[in-house]
Amino acid sequence: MAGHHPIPILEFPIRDAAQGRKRAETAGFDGFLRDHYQVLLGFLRRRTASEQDAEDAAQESLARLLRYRESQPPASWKPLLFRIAANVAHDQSRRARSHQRKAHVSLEDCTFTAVAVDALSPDRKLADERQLALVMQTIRGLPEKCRNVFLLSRFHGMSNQAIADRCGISVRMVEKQVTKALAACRKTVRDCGA
Amino acid sequence: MNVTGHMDGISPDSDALAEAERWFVRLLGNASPGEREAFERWRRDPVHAAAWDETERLWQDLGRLEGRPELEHMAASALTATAPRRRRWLIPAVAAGMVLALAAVLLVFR
Repeated sequence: MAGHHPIPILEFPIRDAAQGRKRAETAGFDGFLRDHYQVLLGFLRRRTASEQDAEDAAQESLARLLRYRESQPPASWKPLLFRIAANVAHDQSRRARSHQRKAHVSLEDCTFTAVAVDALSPDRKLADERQLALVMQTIRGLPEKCRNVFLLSRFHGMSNQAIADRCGISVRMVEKQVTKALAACRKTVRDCGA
Repeated sequence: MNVTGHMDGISPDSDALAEAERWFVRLLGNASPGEREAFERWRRDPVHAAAWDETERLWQDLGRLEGRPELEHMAASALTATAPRRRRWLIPAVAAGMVLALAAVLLVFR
């Protein structure tokens, strides 16, 4: 019987599992983690100071991704994970730099008031209410399409491809719109910060 | 507030920032190994590296808007505005078009 698939439903998990060896266990979230851990580590090595930092950041990223396991479709885990990882690595390096300069003040202590943030961590952009309000205004003032695409990217964690599919536009157009929104936010931050 | 890359004494100009933003958004998606390589080359320039850091920081800091009612409202609107709702228009539109075409054909061949 040519073309007969006895259990077509199982095709996907099995194909995923082929990368991760242990067939029964690799489907789903665990499989995803195992399949992407090495790539994640490589990604983080380029953004962290040491192997230990990279591993710490990888663990932290995976832990944070767990929160999205239920709410986000599997297709979005990967872009989400790398976005989280970029943020974690960034936090880590910022914390390290802040410790270098003010060894006795932890970053957590700094974030309570804008004044403290300004004085101790001048690179902390958007640190005060005024800036946040202005950036909000900037986002609100973006053309609708640009704003929606940007919000889906930054605040819904959607991949460029997912947004393109959803909005019926090209990935290039998604990139263009997100870039445009990001530039607008940067100009606002620079204008009110300088 | 100093936002001009004082950390390394480098202040990326807006051209460098614009490039950094393009790279950043590009790399949110699936970048090819070639693109990654090109990106690493680009980032070797200290001005570019400073622009990259600033862009990453901005992206990260935007997270501070999360949870604010206005942002949440806009974010929710972005979802509904781009939901398949628009495509629901497509089916009636196509159906109406077909009816019109049929009507035209019937008129011609009457």
